[in-house]
Amino acid sequence: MDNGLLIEARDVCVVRDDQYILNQVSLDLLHGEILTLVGLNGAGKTTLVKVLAGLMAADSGMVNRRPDIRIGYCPQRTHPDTTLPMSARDFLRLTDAAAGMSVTGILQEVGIGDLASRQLYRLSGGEYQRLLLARAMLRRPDLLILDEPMSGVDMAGQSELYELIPRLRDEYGCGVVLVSHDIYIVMAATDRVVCINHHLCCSGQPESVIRHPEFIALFGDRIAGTLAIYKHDYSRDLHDNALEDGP
Amino acid sequence: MPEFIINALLAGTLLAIIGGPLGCFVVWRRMAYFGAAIAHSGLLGVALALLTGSLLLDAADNSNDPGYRLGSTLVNDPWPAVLIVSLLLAMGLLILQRRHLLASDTLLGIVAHGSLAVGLLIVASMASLQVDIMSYLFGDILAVGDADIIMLAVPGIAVLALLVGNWRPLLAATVNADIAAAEGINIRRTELLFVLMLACVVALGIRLVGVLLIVSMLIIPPATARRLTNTPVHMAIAASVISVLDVWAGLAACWYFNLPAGPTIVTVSMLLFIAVMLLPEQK
Repeated sequence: MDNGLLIEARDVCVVRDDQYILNQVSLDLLHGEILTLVGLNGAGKTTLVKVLAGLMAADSGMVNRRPDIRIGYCPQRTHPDTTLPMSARDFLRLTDAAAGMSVTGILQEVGIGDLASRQLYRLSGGEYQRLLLARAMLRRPDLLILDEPMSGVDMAGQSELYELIPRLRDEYGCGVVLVSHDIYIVMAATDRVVCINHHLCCSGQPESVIRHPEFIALFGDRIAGTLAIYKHDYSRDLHDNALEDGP
Repeated sequence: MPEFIINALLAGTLLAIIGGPLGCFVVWRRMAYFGAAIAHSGLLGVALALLTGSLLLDAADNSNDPGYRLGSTLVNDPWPAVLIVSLLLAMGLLILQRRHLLASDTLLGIVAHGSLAVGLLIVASMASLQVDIMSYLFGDILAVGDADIIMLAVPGIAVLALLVGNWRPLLAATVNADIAAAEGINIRRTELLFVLMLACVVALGIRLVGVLLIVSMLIIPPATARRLTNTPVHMAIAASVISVLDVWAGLAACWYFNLPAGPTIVTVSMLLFIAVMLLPEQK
């Protein structure tokens, strides 16, 4: 595969009960890039990342992963079960740490170094998301997939997480796929935005995607307008209209 | 002590040790009803073995006929057939669950009670065989012989070895199947392995505490242990220890007060659970 290309998906379709969950979605994931996947609830975002990660098979289409790719996957928030006694440290020991990575080190790096012996079900939403992130990073992944990492996290915690994710990307040089139904995330540290609604609506740099008619149709004029205000703070070239239309 | 009590202690202790960690997974994975469905079908296994056996005996011309020998084996010892039926049923249930045709508990309920009813009907229709239904429903740990201990120990220790050997992938798949799968664990294989281990231990346990009580031996000790422990490994070990104590205390009570063994063990187990629940919660 090309240099820098982690996963290449072409014309991926997933059908359930005669309905297209995903319809002819094509996507490339690149090394070192933060890609944000936006779309309404039920638009097929989680299905798409599961197909990309190899957790689910596509009904048609093709997914090529770089050989020996290591994927760190943080699923949507699940409530830890109180019947299972397990500390944060034990949770991280369920995976094989990559060379040079340690449980204590990664806990500190994601900012919950003092919670190693805390039981899972006693962690707050934000602490649990950080723990999932720590488990994924422990393997030094080539690609980090975060499915709705902000759910159950309060506002202060959210902005800290938004800062943490690009920092981890810079330090470990992994690609990142961030799934969100919260479009404000679009303007955070994202290199590329892909908007799906079963099919691929539009993709490109954040400031161009929010002007795309399909994006405005999905999320509404008002929200696109709000985001346009954010845009002035954005460091990129505002006149870059490069827009990759979906099929 | 008479030999039957020693055999009962041995068999019960063995089941308790294996049931501890296995039962923890039943609790963590919320599969108590899955275990109950397999257990209830145990009576169907017994009934099918007896029916096939007696049909073979009737059809055989003389006692040298291979059909006659198979028939008498089935009638005298239906337990290998119970094990086979349990394993097949567990695989069948797993396939049906994966298709999501019905809510899981509805499916399990149909299988559990349907197979129990059919099993009872078959046994009732075979008037020529004097079948002690009660010993299948509530077990007969006091009737365990020397040969039965071996029949229990060999598969039991194999299950325990598999459980210990696959501890981490099993635990990872239990905590979060998606993360485990992304980390390269084969979830379907782990699930199948677990369900087959469960079916095996349930089939072995039916003999000791019966179709209706075996699942309680798998879930009450872990539930008691949960309150006292903070790591998965400690909970599994504590469940085994608690279960062994339940068996010993239950058998002692049934010996001194002349009580039925299976229900006594389960009652002791439940009383210990209640006692532990009354302890103040640890921080």
